[in-house]
Amino acid sequence: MNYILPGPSLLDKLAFIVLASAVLGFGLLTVTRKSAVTALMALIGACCALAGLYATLSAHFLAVLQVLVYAGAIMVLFIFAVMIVNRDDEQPIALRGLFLRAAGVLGAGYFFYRLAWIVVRERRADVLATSITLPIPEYGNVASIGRLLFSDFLFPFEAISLLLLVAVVAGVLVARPPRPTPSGDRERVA
Amino acid sequence: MRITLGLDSTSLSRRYPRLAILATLFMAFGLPLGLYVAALAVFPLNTPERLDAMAEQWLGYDLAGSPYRYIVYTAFLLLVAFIAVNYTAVFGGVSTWVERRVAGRMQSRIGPNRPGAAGFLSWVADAVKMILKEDTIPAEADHLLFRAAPYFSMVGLLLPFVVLPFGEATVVTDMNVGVFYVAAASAFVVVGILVSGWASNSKWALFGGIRGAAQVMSYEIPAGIAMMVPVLMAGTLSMQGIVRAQGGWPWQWFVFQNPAAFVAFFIAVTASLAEGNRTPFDLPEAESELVAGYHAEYSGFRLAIFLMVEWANMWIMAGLAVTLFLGGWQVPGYGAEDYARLLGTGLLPAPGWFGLQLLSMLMFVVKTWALVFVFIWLRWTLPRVRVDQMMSLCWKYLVPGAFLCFVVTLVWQLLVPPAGVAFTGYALTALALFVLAKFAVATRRNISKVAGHRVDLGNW
Repeated sequence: MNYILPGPSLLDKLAFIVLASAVLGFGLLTVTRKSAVTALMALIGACCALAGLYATLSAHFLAVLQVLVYAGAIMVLFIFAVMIVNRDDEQPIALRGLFLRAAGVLGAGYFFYRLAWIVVRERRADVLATSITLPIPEYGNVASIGRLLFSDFLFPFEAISLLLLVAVVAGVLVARPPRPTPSGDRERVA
Repeated sequence: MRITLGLDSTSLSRRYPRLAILATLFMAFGLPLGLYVAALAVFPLNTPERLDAMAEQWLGYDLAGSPYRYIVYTAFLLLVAFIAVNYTAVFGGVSTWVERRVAGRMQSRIGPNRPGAAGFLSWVADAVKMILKEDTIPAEADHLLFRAAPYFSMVGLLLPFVVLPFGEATVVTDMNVGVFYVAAASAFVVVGILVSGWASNSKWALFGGIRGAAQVMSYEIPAGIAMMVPVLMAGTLSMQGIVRAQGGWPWQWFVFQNPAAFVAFFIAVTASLAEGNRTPFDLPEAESELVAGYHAEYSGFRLAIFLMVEWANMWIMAGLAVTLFLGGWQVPGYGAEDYARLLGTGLLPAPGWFGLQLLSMLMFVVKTWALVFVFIWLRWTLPRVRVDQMMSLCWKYLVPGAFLCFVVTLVWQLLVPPAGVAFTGYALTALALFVLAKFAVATRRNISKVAGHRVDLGNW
């Protein structure tokens, strides 16, 4: 196993082009479809294509996590919520009123300006033509990620778990059925 | 109109009884054996380096420097995928026949016994029937998603085959995130169930889809935690690494190596039954409540895909449990050095190596079929649980139980010396054999109590 990856081969470039256009295409479908479920399916496609991009960057663990957590669990929860709520007639917030629309256009314009700037800068650096040296031999595998998580990044890692715990408790609080009132019958929340 | 396949008892096979037996033998043994041999021949070659060496040695062609290297490699990957897809289809088909015969035996009836010897070819007849049927799509359905849904399920079924080890060398690739990958891949089945339920635009299907999503999402958690127990014991997420950390004899299997793993095995099997929508957890397609659940509106080939996924999923469930807990392909008495010695250093290994590989595949296949057999028993013994029972079983018992197993395994790994682990292996194996013997005796006594019961082969 050599630690220096060769420059991108034809297949790598092909994989990048296919996966990147899949991410963009599914992303566009996500924001343009009217039916919420179709949009969510496109988002799942974008997540899977993103996982493919991670895999080509030799971050296999991240790729699997992307599919397991986002395409699997979170998206299924989204679909679940959309199916139960099922309010297709709701107008997106960005399309309400002149001010919000203008803000949306400005925000999107700024975002694309930054993106274009990055692309122009990286084109000058021409990263794709050089070979890539991995920082450590076992870059991206489970053992090295685990070592980093439990040494250098221990505090952020534990802080995130605390944050998730808070979120879980909040979720339980929101979802808990109302307490019975002293008169005996339960308060109903419409 | 009656379609005869030429193997029906009324036509060809009555005139040529041997033809039916030959066709059955071919389908029952020739086809799977051919697939196993093809897998053994193709899967180990499946690295660019080995393909380079073979092209260099035999064809005198410098594949490594050729621009067509990746085309050749991709063609090989397609061949691998072809073998895996065919294997799922054949297993899915054969297991429906086994299931129906076992169900017949358990309910004192005959079961399918017409096409082929012992009715074995009925799965072929079913598949042909399904393919010939019209593919109807409800007018009010979401056409695109309705058509796409079966493929999500299919992808979720096929992806785990990439890392499921059939033998010492017979695995498509040995990822360092293998166990994780299987958990991620099976998530696609849920998407298929949910989308088919929603896109059908039918109450039954929608309820089935929502139930399915809630069930699979919930049971993924105990299954995932229970699957981490062998990962902790082996110290790796790679499937082959986990099998290599176990031994061939039962007391070297992870399930018997520590009491927490013994419990975790049952948690993992229960949770995977629920993830695979098998009875007693077949709520998403409960016939008496939801017609056919999420696939109520499907017909023809799309229905065939759903059914194939459902039955072939048993192979993934059982194969995963065998790999993680029951020693996988390990052959008793043969260690890693035997494989290395027989492999040698040449381009082609010695014939003995192929023999040993086939033996290791046989170990895996026999163990997995045994577990599939148990799944079938469960289906025809237990009644369906209610939705609330399903949820409380998962969240109140399996999730805390799995967490407890996880923690106990951590402590066990730290504190118990190898001698203690070996002793636990013998003790738990003895206990399991004792329980099995008691179970067999009790079953025999129960059967002999039923008046007039006898094995009647007259209708096979």
